[in-house]
Amino acid sequence: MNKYSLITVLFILGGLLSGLSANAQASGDWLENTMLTSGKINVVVAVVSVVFVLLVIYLISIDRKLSEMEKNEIKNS
Amino acid sequence: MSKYWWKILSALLVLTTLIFGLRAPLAPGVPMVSPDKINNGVTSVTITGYNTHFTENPDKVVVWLTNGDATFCPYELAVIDDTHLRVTFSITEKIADSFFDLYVNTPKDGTMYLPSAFLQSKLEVSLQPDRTENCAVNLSADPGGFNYPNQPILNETIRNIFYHVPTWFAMLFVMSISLVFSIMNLGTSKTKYDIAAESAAHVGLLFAFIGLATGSVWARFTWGAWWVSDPRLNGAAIAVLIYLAYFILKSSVNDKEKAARLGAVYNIFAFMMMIVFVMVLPRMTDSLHPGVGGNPAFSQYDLDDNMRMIFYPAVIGWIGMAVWIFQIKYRMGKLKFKQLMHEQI
Amino acid sequence: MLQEIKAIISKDLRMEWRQKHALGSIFLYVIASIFVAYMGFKQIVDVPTWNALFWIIVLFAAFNAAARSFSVESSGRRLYLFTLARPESVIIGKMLYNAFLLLVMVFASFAAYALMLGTGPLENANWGSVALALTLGAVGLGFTLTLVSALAAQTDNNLGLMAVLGLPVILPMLLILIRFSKNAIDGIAWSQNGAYAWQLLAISVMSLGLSYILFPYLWRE
Repeated sequence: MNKYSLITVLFILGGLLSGLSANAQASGDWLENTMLTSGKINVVVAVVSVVFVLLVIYLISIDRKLSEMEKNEIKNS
Repeated sequence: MSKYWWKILSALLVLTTLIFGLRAPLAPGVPMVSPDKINNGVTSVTITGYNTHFTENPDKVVVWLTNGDATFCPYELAVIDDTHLRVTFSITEKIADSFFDLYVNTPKDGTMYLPSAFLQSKLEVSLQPDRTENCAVNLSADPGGFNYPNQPILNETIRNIFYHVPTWFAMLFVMSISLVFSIMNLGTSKTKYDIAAESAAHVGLLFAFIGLATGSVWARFTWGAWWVSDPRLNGAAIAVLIYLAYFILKSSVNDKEKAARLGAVYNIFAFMMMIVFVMVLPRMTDSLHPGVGGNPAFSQYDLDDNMRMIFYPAVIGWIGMAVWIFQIKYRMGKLKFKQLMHEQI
Repeated sequence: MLQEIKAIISKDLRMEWRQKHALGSIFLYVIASIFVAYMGFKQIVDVPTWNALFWIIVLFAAFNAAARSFSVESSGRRLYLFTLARPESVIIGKMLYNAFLLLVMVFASFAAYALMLGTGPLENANWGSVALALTLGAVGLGFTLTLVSALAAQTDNNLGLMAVLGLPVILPMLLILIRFSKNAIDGIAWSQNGAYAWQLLAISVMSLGLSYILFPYLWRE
């Protein structure tokens, strides 16, 4: 279950990134082109995404610990 | 329900600040000029506006440059579209300063200002300027309602103040919680205080990482580097190191009671040393961060009233979220401890 | 209490004097580091590099010196000390002793360092400030690292943990110290540099107070 959720997150992230790069111009430095145009609004998007992604990763780690504890509980009873 | 009210409140605060922080427009501004040099003689430049309305009243658009005390007016001004102006200056006189500041005034957008917009080229710089003109109008605020200040370089990223800065407040808050529980643990040697201190430190580390990562992204596209040597950043890095060391210390001692005691002592000692560094040093040295170098907080210019209205709720909301996560972690820790005791019996 | 502190300091001094190899090993460490730096650089003209390298050498020597202050005591002797003196006296005594040891070491290694790597950067130095920087640096490092050493001594992996625990705590002080001593070497006037000295003093005093409060909790077992 946890492995799958991690893969899902990575998949979504990959999708987001490829979407960004598709928008960028053909020139080599697509990152600069994406981030520095339209008033640098994409920097805000990136920051909000980073906050969200890190929180999700933390959630996953908590989830895993809880599953472990549940397994112990079953063993004990 | 009564137990959950503050969790719901903080989630709602985060959601509202997220929505309003992203929805409200940026104030009109003139972030870019090209070319950014004023030559000796005739110079034509294109001024790019952001959220501006130049075509609404093209005759009333006023542009002027200031240099020292002198004012220079264009002799030709054409409105291309809502966000572009074509302006021609003719300057051959002596000037007082190497840089020209740009002002653009329209009835709809108010006065927009770009400091050090142009660098002089081949003009004579002396103390006494030769010419000054009188086309400047009184500065007026933007009448456009609820919006955020449009500052050069920052542009739209000024909104990150709502998403990056509160994570630091949340981090400091949960780390203070960790400190308090460490002190209580030393006083009473109760295991639950140790679990609480450790959980709070864990959540503090999470928010430190969020703060570092978001700050890094923001810095890359405004200051130009992923990491800059800055007192605030150094303080943040030290905080991360301290709590990593705290976890290493706790895991390296097998005796739980002893680990709790050593951890508590280190937590108190290291936190105090860090807080002196974070509080005192940034004010003494130059920093890229606003509000540093004399000012304890954000000055009026950095954080206007509209931003305060979003910023403070965001801080409260994120602190609430951090405490919420801390609580979950703490309850899990207690449960795990109970299981361990159960296994040992 | 003063009696106890005095007794502990004199005990440590006498022990150090008797085991000359221990004291000698620290000095050997410093000399060897300076020599390695000399092999690498020959002469350093750049003031920031000169200054930073000096403090890095001192930092690691200080770690070595402080790490010994609690681990040299066998557990039997620790128990004996425990019955004789109050923990507050023990920590204050150890801190003062460590500060003294580092003071000697810092001044000696400064002379050796300047001799080996060139005195060029020192031409404009504000000597009063330099001496103050060396003193405050030695005292601050000694004070701060003593409690860390007491912490690390309680674990199995003494030396490794010492570095892990000590570095984050010492970093703030070290950043101020390096800036202060660089300004002093550059010959910047006291009026513009004095604030750093006060900060260093404040940090030292704070670490003294914190150790005084916290050490009794480490001591009891």
